[in-house]
Parts: sequence; C-alpha cells; structure tokens
Amino acid sequence: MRRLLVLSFFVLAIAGCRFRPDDSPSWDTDLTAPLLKSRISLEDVLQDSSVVQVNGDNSVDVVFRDTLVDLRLSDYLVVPDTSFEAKITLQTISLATDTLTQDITLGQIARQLRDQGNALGQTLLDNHGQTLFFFPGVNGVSSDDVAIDASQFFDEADLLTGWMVVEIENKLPVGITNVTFHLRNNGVLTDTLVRKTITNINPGQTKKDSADLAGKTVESAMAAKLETIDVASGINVPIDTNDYIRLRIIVKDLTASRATAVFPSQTVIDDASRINYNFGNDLVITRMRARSGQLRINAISTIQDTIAFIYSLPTTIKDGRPVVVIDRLVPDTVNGFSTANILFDLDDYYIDLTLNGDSVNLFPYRLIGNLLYSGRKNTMDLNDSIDLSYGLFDIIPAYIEGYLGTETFTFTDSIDMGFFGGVLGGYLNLSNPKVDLTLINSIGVDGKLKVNRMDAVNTRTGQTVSLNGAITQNPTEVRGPRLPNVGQSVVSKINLNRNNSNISQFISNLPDRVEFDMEVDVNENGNPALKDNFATDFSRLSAYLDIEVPLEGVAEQLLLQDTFNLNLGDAALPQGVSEGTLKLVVDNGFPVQAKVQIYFQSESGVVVDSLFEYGGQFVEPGILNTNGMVQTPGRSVLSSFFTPERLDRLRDDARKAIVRFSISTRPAYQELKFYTTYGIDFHVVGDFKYTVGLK
Amino acid sequence: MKNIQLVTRACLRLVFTAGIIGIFCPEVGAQHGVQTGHLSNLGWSQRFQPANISQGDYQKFRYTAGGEGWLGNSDFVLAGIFSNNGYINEATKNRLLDQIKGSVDMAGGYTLDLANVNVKLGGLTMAFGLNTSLHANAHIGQANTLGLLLRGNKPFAGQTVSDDELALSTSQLRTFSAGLGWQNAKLRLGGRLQIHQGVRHFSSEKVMFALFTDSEGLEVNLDADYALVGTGSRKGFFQFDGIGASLDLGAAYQISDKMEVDVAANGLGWMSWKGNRVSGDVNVDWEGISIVSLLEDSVPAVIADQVDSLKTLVFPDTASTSWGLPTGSNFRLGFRYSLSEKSELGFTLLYAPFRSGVYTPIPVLGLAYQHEVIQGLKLGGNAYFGGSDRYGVGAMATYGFQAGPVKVNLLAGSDNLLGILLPTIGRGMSAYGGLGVDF
Repeated sequence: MRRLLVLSFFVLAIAGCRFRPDDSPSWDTDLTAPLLKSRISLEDVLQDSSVVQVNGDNSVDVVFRDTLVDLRLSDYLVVPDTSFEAKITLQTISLATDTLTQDITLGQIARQLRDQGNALGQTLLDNHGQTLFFFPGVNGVSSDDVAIDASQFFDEADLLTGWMVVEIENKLPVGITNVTFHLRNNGVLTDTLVRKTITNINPGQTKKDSADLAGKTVESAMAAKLETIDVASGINVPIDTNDYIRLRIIVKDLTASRATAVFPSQTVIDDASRINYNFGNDLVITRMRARSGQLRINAISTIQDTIAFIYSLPTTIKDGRPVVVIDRLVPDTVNGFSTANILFDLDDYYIDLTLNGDSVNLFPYRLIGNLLYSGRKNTMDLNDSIDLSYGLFDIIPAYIEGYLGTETFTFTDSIDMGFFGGVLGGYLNLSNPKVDLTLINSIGVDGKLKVNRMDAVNTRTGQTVSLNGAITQNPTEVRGPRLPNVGQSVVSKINLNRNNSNISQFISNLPDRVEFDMEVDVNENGNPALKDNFATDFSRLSAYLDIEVPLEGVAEQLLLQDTFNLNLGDAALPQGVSEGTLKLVVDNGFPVQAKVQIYFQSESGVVVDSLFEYGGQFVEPGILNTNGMVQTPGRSVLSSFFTPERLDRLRDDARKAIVRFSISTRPAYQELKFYTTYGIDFHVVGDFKYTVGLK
Repeated sequence: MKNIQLVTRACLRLVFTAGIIGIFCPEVGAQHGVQTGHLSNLGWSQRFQPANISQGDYQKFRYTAGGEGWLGNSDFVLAGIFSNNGYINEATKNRLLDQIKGSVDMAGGYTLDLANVNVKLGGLTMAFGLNTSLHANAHIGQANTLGLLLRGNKPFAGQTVSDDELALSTSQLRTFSAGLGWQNAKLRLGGRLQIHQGVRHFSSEKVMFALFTDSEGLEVNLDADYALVGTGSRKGFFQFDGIGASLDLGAAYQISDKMEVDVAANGLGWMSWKGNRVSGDVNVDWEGISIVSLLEDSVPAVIADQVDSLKTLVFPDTASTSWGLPTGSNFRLGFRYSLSEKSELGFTLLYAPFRSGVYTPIPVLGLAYQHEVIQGLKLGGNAYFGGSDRYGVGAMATYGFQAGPVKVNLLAGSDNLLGILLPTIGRGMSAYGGLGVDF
C-alpha cells in the first residue's frame, strides 16, 4: 500500500507538470501602422495635368485648346493619277548610202566590135601597145550587163526618197561623144530604175548625172549597162586595151516605207506632247512640288532592232535637272517584240504647269527613240511602232501655287473637355473665364469663317447652353499670307467676353463636350487671274477654341466623383487580428470644406458598404492667411471601425470604390483663388488589435 | 531459459514505459542539477557529473530514462502568465514590464533522455546514451523591446523604441553518447564523448534596432542592423543540418566518510551548422503604400508592388552559409556533506557561459538537502541563486524498490518550484522526472 501511494505521487507529480496546449501564453497587442498615403493635388482634381498652367504667384489657370477647324492642302487638292497610252509608228526608215564602181575596158569594147563583125575590133586588139595613126571612132557600142549585188546592205526596199548619182570617168585615149547609162532590177523585177545619157566626155574627164529613185522598189540584184557608146576619132592614138571607162554609181538619201536591210543608226521616234490636268473646282495650278509620286512608263516595241529611248519631262525639275529617263527596248527573239517597265520617283520635283508661262495645269513630255545599228538584216516598215503607256501616279503635293478655287468647307464635330468631367453637380461661379476663337492661316488664300452653332453640353446634368453673340451672327474674315511669304501664318483672334457673347453662362455650364457646326468659305473674293494662292503640306487654316479659366470663384457643394476598380482578391485580415479601425488622417491644403465618402460597389453596381456612416464625414478647410492663401492645412482625423466580417464583405463583394467629395469654398460665397501648392494629403492608418499566441 | 525470456520481456516493457513517460513529459527535468547532480548512486546524476558513471548498486546493467524542462527569466515573476488559460491580460503586462528594470534574460528548454545504459565490465563502467534537447535563450537589452512584443507599437506612438543588445539563440540537438567510468576507494573519474546531430538552430549574430512610431501612426521608421543565421527544421531521425561533438569530463574525490568534492567540465566541443544567413542594415521609413493618385491608380496592384518592395528592403541579403558554435558547455563544482546516515547536504557551483545550452549569465550557487524518510524513499529540498531566473527553490523525491529481479528507481522533482507554486514571486520554473531499472 505504501509503495502504491508513493508510486501514485510520482505519477501525479509527472502528470501535474504538464502544460496543456490551452495554457500556452497569449496576449493582445495594439498595433498601428500607416497603410496608404496619397496626395490629391489640384492637377488630380482637374484630372488633366496638361490643362494646368501655373502663374508666377502659383495661382492656377485652366488653359485648354482644341481644334475646331483644320483645313489642309490635302483638302484642297488631290492630284489625280494620269495615264496615257500612245502608239508611236516609224516616221522614216533610212537606208545606208552606198557606192558601186564598175570599169569597162577598151579591150572589152574591142572584143564586142569584133564579135559584131566590125574589123576595128580586131585592129584594136592587134595594135595593143601600138600607136594607131588614125582611129576612126566607134558608134553605137553597148557594154554587156554588169551585175550589181547590193545584198550585203538590203534585200529589197520600197523607197520613199533617194537619189542615184552616176559618174562616168573617161580613161580612154579619145573622147566619148555619147554614152547612155541604164540601171534596172535584175531579180524578180526587171524594170528600169535609171536611164541617163551623158555626152562629150574628154579623155581623163569625169562627168556625172543624178536620178530620182523616189517611189522605186529596189532589189539587191541589179544590172547596169552602158548603151550607145559613141567614141570620137583621133590621130596617132596609142592603143592600150586596158584603158577603160569607169562607171561609179552612188546611191544616197534613201528612205524606205518598207525594207529588209541592215539599218544604220537612226532616230525612228521623236514625239513631244503634254499632260493636261483637270483638278476640278476651278482649281488652277501653275507650280507644284511633289512630296512623293512616281512616273511610270511601260513600252512595247515591234521593231526588230534595239531602240534606245529617252523619255523626258523638261519642266519637271529637281536640282536644276529635268526628269530624263533613258532605257532600251531590246527585241526578244522569242516573242518578236521588246518591253520596258520603268518607275521613276518624283519626290521633291518641281513641276512647272505653265508650259512656257502662258498656260496652266499643263506640262510637256518628249519621247525619242533611236534605232541602234546591229549589223543584222531586219525587216522594218512604217507600221512598226512603240506602244507606250505612261503617266504620273500617287502624286502628293508638298507645295502648290495658282488659284485654289472657290469652295465651302463644313466642319461639324464635337470636342471633349475632360477637366470638368469629374464634377457631377453643385454650384460653381468662376470669376473671370476667358475664351478666344483663334484663327491661324498659313495657306495663301483668304476665307470667311461662319459659326452656325456652338453648344456647351454637360452630359452629367443634361444641360446645354448655346453660344450667342456677334460671332454666330456675322462671318469672320480669315486672312492668309501673300506670296512670297510661304511658311508664314496670319493669326486672328476673336475674343469672347461677357459683352459680346454669353460665354460666362457657356463655361459655367461646366461642359464636358462642345458641339459645333462651322463653315469656311475659301476665295469668295479671290481673283483667278492672279494665280497667287499657294499652300504647302504644312499649311493650315485652323480655328482653335482657347479657354483660359483662372481658378478663382465660388463653389458650393460642388460634387466631385471618381471611381476606381477594387479587387481585394484573397486579402483578409491576418490571423490573430480580431478587430481594427481604419483611420483617415487628412491634411487639407485647399480652402474648401469637403465632405468625404467612399462607397463600395459590387460588380452589379449595388453599394455593399461605405467607409463612413451618415453620408460621409467632413474634412476641415485649410486656414487662409491675410493674402487669401492657405497657410495651415486643416487636419481631420476620420475613423471607421472594421470588424473582420466587414472586411470579408469588402473582399467578397466589393469590386468598385467610388470616391465622392462634396466641396464648398470657405468662407462661404467668398471668391477664392486656387494655387498649385494646394493639395490634400491622405494617410490611411490601421489600428489593429492583434492577439499573439505562443502555441 | 524461461527466466531469460521473462526478464527480457520485463526489460522491454520497462523501456517502452520509460519511453512513453519521456515522450509525454518533455517538460520534466532539472535545470541546473542542484539536486540530481548529488544523486551519485542514480543514473540521472551522470549527466551533470560523468564521474558518477562508475557509481551504482546494480550488478551488471542499468537503464535510465528521464527528462527535464525549465523556463525562467531574470526580472519578472510568472504570475498571470500561465493562468487564465494562458491569456496575459493588461494588468499582467503592466506589472511584468514594470518589473523589468533594464535588460532581461530569458531562457527555456528541455532535455529528454530516451535511454542511458550503464554496463559494468570489471573495474570499469561503460555508459551509452541517446537524448534530444532544446535550448532557447534570449537577452533583451531594453524593457520597451519586450513592451513592443506585449503591447504592440501603438502605446509607443510618438516614441522611439531601440535596443542594441538583443541576442537570441535556439538549438535543438539529438545526441548519441558513449562514456567510461572508473573508481577506486577515494577517487572516481569519468568521461563521455557526445556526438550531436543538429536538428534545428536559430541565433543572432547581431541585432540592433530602433523603431519610431509617429504619434498619429502616419509614419513608422525602422532602423535596424542585424545578422541572423538559421536552419530549417529536420524531423527525420537521420536528417540534420548540424553536426558536432563534445566531451564531458568529471572527477569526484572522497575527502572523508562525510565529505566529497567533485568537479566536472561538460559539453566541451563544437557544433558546425549549415543554413542561411539573413543580414541587413536597413532604414525603412514607412509611411504607408504610396499611391500617386488615389483617384486614378489601381490600388490593389500598387499595394502588391510596394509590399514586395518593402520585403526586399527589410530582408535585403539572404545567403547560404555555414557557421560554427561552441556546444553548451558547463562547469560544475560540487560538494557533498553527510549530516547523518540518512541525510546530507549538497553544494553546487555551476557556470554555463554559452547560449547554445543551459545558460547561466550569473553562475548558479545551489544548496540541496536530501533525507531518506523511509526505506527507498528520499526527499529533498533545494535553493539556488544565479542562473537565468536569479533564484529558485525546489523539491525532489526518489523512490527505489525491488520488482522481482530488478530494482526500479523513480525520480520526480524540480529545481525551481516558485514559478509553479508561488508565481507571484517566482521568475522561473522547472521540473524533472525519470525512471531507472537496475539489473
């Protein structure tokens, strides 16, 4: 028993020493930590920093400019693509000049006499090398046909023009009193080409005559013959049978309508014409500089020889040199014709469209085709041609000069003004809004601006205020610069104020959109004869709406709101946090009292919670000094108690947070100026009770 | 043969029972061995005095298991900490912080001897052991540092809380040991080699911080220079991140029939650890997540970005590293005086300079009284000064009885009962217990 008691003591002692897990120490701590900080500046409130202009005294103007009208060169002028096609046939076909020489010896004449039974023939042959005391003369002797082969130059040619010159040189010891030259085709045709008689050719003398070959068809095989040769008598005549009569035939100035020949180098095309633009709207262009564009040439030639062609635009000039395109049409032996496709960039080329100063919308071109000598025999006739298509494409002008025509341009549009977009409602009276309609014209043309309608639309309230005043009743002259002041602008300003318009009501409507309907009449009083309008691709005729609103005035319960997406996702209070307070510490540097509230919305737009109860809490205004500037920010400490359940609700349901400020200037209804140094510093501080456990 | 089987079965039951007790009572044990170091005939004393390996009335073989646990601090009493289901209320926190005058040392830990086996071989006695232990020590230089932990930073709004003396250390070891004891008529000598597996470690090389909290909570500034090393947690028996060895040496000399003096130097060794080193010299001025425009930004995305940036700022450098630390050495001087056949006095002077083990920033001076009230039952009481908790009063009981062929020894006690019984004055508490079987 005693042992049992002792054992029980030990068991109890050991068991008593154990700490149960529940006994592990735990305690509550009070943690405070800054969670978020932010500053809402004046620019944030205006939602568009680009419109904020800070003045020397740090006061702020909202300066807004947007474009109402923007008229450019491209609105005036679209250079149409030009495309021309031409079939250019051969004007002439020139053949080569040629000379043929044929000698008829005294021996040949003697043998022909002998064969005709004339004893003189044998006498002459027998006395070769002797001196014949008396030579009785010969009459009516004819030579045999002498074959003339011109096949190395041509096979056949229908001549349009041409001359044959026949020269007879007398190398006989006695004179020739009469000789007739006879040339005829000696192939398929046998017709006489030339028959000419020359008389009284003394020994050693040459005489010639010419014959017109126009209209003749000439074959390469010809026959020439000297007929009715009359030789004069003489005493002591030395007989040399090698003496001769030399016949020289010169063919020149041959042009053919058809020929199969080895053609010499020659210009086969020389065509000059002009391109005539029609820009419409009475638009007259005298000069134009292309910012970009192309000359396109496509050529097909049926000529069997290579044609070197030159396409030139003599009044289209860059760096002092005109457009000259040189290319070749090389015959394709398979297809039988040749092609060329050319693109030529016209970037920065000046085009003079006056055609020597007395025309408009015109510029000339010239096409020259030179046949190149090939040494080969080809057939060509005047039906051979070069089919040409050419034109100017995608011309975008960088500068035009002339008369830009009379036209009315209409501008119906709207512009957004985001800086009032965050204002949902309330009262705002701005002290001194300034609005200008600024016209800037760098196009060398005058116009008139008509404002048919201009509305200030507040889409949040649904209210619209139409602009009224002189500007909507009368057109406004818009002057442009004059030549040679290219690149300069003429600026005109139309000030809209309380005296000439209802601009104050217009701006105080806090529009987030301005809708307008405007017209620009161009050249209403222009003189087409002067052709003194101009425009560059940088030229504009623009009208701007300039709004300058000094942030000075009275606001009462001006309702600003913004929404941002919120998705806390898996966020939750850290384990151990039992409750907490979100403390909003606000240092308000604005001279406004603001009522702050944040609403938390579900995806469907249902408000699931709000940061504060009873519509929000007030943030005290900054305290003004004697100069009307905030000297000391107003500090407000706003608290919102959060249970874990409340935070879980935000995590599970809240997807958007709507921040809403209701702003009133203080002191009430006193006009106050706003400075860029103004801002609201927000600090969100979390005060949490955190339970520490040593389990 | 049957007897052998019965003995074997009985031994297995005892081992199993001891294991169960050890596992479920990790808190029990002796903090400083003020009492158990003088129980020279029982196995539990060997951990404090290796010279006692050779002691004991058993024939050939002895098995001992047990454990100890403790916690304490240098300044505040424990009242209110472990009551109310462990919830520390505001009054307790206030009293606790009021009691801290300057720096404060805190310590806690346990040792669980799963098995300690002695085998007699001729004139020598061998000892084999397996234990697991955890030691945690902290030194806080300023009361407000603890105030931050207990109260949070809000009560310190508008103030700077700083501390440049923070020191933290936690080590968990698994230890295998083999020792040898020898004795003659007057002198006992003992030595033991311990191989340590490092299960877990965390310690500070340096920690200095200053935390300022704005009076409205608009700003929190942390200026910190720190370097921490630590491992992961290794739970598998063969998993560890540290390895080391240490040597225990002890000697006892019988001056006379009534007096004995003993000395020991335990845990003379080195641990090598591998893990990560996190260091930084940071100055974070935290004013909350900065949202450029509250009206425009996507707030959750901005928060995520800036929290990531803050983490990078506060924990700038993390690198794999290895480091070495001395094992938890302690040096003991003991003196025992027999008042009578059944009662004796024990004096202990203990000094443990390293935070990797039992840590005594002030050397412990202990006095123990033991008296055998009945056959086999010995009761004792003790008091000590020094250590982490500065003073303590404890009690102890051992009971040995014959159970068939074996003698069973039981141990229960505490070096410091004040924290348990009188928490209004006690700064620490400890408990120990054990089971021994002599064959």
